[in-house]
Amino acid sequence: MNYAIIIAGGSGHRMGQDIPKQFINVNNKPILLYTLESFEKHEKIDAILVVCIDGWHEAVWAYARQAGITKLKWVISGGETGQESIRNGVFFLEDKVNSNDIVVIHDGIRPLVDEEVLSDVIEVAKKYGNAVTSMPFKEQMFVVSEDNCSSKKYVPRETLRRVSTPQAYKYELLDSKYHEAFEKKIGIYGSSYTNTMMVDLGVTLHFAKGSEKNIKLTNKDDLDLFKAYLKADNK
Amino acid sequence: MKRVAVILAAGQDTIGNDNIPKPFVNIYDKPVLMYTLEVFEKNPQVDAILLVCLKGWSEIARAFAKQYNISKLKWVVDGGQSIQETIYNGLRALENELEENDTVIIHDGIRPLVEDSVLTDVIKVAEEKGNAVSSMPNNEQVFVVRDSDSNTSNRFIPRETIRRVTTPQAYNFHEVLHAYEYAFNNNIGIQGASYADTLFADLGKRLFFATGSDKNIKLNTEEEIGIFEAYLKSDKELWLK
Repeated sequence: MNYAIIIAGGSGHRMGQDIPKQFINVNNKPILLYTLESFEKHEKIDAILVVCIDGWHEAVWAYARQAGITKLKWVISGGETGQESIRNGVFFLEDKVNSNDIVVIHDGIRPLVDEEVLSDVIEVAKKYGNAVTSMPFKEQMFVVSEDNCSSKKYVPRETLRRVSTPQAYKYELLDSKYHEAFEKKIGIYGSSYTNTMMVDLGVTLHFAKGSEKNIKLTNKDDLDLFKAYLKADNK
Repeated sequence: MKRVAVILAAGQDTIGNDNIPKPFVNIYDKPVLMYTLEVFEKNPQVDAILLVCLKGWSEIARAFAKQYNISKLKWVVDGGQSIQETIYNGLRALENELEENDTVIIHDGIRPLVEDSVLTDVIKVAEEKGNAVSSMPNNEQVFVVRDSDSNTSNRFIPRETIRRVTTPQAYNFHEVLHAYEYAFNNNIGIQGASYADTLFADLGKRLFFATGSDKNIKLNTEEEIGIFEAYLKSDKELWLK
């Protein structure tokens, strides 16, 4: 079986709005619902868990019912940080999934994840135990100097890849590494995520396909871009 | 002090099976390049524009620029075999036109979504520090590809420690011209994907970051053209704070 953990634990502060960004409406539909629809439509996804900011759980259930998201099985509370939210989701599944099942972790505010990207991440994870969606960099990558406003060094961009979500892991690996990380307090602070935590704990990650379109909606420019994609798709 | 925009439109690449070079792809009957030139035309901080153009397309560029009232366009010169040659051709053409302390703003002709705020910051930082590159933080994790197997990684670079750099980039004219003269005489920093920014780093110079925008996309694919079209048609949401 393949499960999805959708992370919707964030508040809207970085975008400067009062509504948490995953619940901002675009064409009368909250962003999170676009994300859930992508997983609902994908034939390889069997069940969905949403890790959600408190106070908004009822809204998730109601929107999901309205849009026919029948794979949504659980809505649970997030934590103080991204890593705590993912951990809550992973631990919640302990008595519900098998060690060989695949769990796909995805940001609720990446609504444009396409079918091919999800398929590839699941396939690669089945083969190697883990998979992270990845893309090459199109811009030059410069290392920030100590003054924080300049650089004397770049890293050849062919040697780097940018990694986002979806990411997929065999449940056994995912569960054991989250226990280890929170016990040892490794890879759980700052901007760390499942992928960086895995590497901090000695795991080699496997790249899966990515898509330029799979943007994270973190500011108003991104929201404009999302709307532009929706319009371009409708043409 | 003068500020001259050096707009690069010398790439031969086309989108898909199309025959038209990217800067000349029409969007609502207007070539992409004209949208870019209009941004510089309208920005009061820019005094003049030099276009480095794909050979054979100069006349077309001039005609369209006249049609769209790009009155700041003063020079159109031919591009080179590589992007670095193209930039160098542009800089050399300005040799007798500019003073040492003037500023040149280098920008890709197929990035029409460069905003005034981005241009303003890159000019401000360059005039303070000698150069400025438009840059953005990484919203995504940055992983290093393993030498032994390029499909895997066991190392990442903390994303706060590295920035993504694009155009516009602004440079003190004297310094950037001499950097290119040195680079071409000594064959340093002019190969492959190198650009004015990587050349400066290769020569041991320090680059200064200005604030970029993720909206400032390069129109390389049909999908990106679609996004640009949608941007042109989009309206601002007044309820968003």
